[in-house]
Amino acid sequence: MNSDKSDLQEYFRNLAKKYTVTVPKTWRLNFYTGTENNFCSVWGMSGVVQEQEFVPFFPWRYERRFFELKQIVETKTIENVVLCRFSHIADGSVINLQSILYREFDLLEWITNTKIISCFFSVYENRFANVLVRLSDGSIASVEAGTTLPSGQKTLDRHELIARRGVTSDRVVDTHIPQYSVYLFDKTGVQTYTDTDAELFGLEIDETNIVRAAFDFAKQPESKRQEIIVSFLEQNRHLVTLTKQALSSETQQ
Amino acid sequence: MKPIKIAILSLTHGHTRKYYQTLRDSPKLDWVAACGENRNVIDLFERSVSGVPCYDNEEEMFRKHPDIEAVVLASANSEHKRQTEMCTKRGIHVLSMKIPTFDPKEYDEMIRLVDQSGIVFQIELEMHYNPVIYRIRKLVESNTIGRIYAFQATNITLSPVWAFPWQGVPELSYGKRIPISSGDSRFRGGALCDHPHIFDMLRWLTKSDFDFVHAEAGPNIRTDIEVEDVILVAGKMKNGTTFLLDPSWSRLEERLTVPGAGWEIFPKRMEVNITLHGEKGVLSADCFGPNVYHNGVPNDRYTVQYTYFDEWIGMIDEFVDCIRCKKQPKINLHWHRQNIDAMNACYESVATKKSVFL
Repeated sequence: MNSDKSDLQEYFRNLAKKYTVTVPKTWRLNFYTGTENNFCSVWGMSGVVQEQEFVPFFPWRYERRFFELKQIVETKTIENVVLCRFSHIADGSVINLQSILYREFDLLEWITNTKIISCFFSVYENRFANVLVRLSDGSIASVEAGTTLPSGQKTLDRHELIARRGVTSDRVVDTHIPQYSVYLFDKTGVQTYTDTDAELFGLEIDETNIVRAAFDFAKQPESKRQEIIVSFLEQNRHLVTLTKQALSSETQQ
Repeated sequence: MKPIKIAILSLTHGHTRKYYQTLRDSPKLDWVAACGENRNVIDLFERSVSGVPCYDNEEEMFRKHPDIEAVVLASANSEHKRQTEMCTKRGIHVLSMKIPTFDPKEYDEMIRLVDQSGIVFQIELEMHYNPVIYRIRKLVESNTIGRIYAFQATNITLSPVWAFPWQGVPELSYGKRIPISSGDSRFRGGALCDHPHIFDMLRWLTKSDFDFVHAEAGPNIRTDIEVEDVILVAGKMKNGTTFLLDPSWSRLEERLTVPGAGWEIFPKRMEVNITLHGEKGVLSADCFGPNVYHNGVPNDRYTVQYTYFDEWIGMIDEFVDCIRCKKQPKINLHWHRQNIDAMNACYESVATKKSVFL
């Protein structure tokens, strides 16, 4: 995260102004950038506070690669997913293991439109979790989650869905680390950039997701917002329960 | 050093074609004969290899070539015990395919026969001779990433059952017909049986043994085969390292009866990737590459073309050295026993839906 909360608020306000979206004064829109001591917020999160309970917007769902993976499944571009392989390794400076699992479990359920019905966790001292998952449609998944990268290293993640017809992934075939849109080689070394949103140019991907998630919520009619809040609260509780299981025991089902 | 006079048996294993080149090229071998299990594989052999007689009867081959010192068992898993017994009686050294047997009693009997006869019995776990594995091992041993917390490995491929039908027959692949779980129409003997390498590499690189395994079989990608094709394994080693293994047949294939160009539907037909997480860093490796790519003949699909596999050179070098210098190969029946036990434990875990301790 490069920006502070006021930057994100500014980007959000500009979007709202451009599209004449009115944010009701009755609810508080929160932007977190990773410093608050809130389990859901360590990612950088947007959400609202409803009756003193924070409602996260699951902003990763607004990352274009995840949106497209979901589309590929929903439009049956690949058919009958049987196996998902998710991996997310961070340096642990901001994001802890539980937060990684929270995000990856949400992505797994959201992309496949299923629910997790069982998990087997093999955990090493809150640093790494290898997880086997059974989903409600009978398919299985693996989730590798860790905070083992040295400080300052960019996150390595991968999401692959294997179906009876077709495979989809956010990584290039025959590679095992992410690629970037722009590489700058200069005397200081290599700089990389991946810009995905011209309207919010200048924000990192995670920051873009936060603003987009908040803006999408703000665009909804009031009646729909309440419906979203109920479903997001339910998902939040479900994910908190699942991720706490991972850390409550070295190994458990 | 005098070349080893060698033969190859059965010719039904997926790695058979690799030996056409290996047995011919190695200056340490004198390839004197082959024996095919059926007319089909003999015809294939005779179209590929000239100057090496191919028999349809093992006894006849040994009678006509009494100078054979060693054989490659390029056969279905169900044949290995019988062929090992035959070789121990004749004092012939064995290079076996990757699964000696899944039956613990048979396995122990094979150990007894081999130990008693004094033959060299080496198991073809060729990853040990892969240059990327050399590099990983060197980095791990020099403490580059420190104490290893976590390990992941994939050994994912297309399914070989259309070209090598025994791999889809539970009795020939696993040795028995055992349902993978109660009420499931599939049987043991599929993808898991094809991919022992990552179990072996896990022990080799962590220098620890299995504490427990937990496995889940997914729905099959191929609904018309009798054996499992999607399976995941997690667990811990005795030193506390957590692991996750994916030995699935998760890359679809064209149903060719003879492997060749255009076999793969997914661009990459095979992958062995290994990641180790240590206290000082993360080591991520793709064991096969760098590769080249094309979208030409026969299907105009984007395809990963592998460049060079030289694992068999080191493996044959060790095999010959062990025979001539009377050494025990590093991948012998004793070493491999726990890999097989762990794979059996995976099947037990799938059946019981519980973790299985070793």
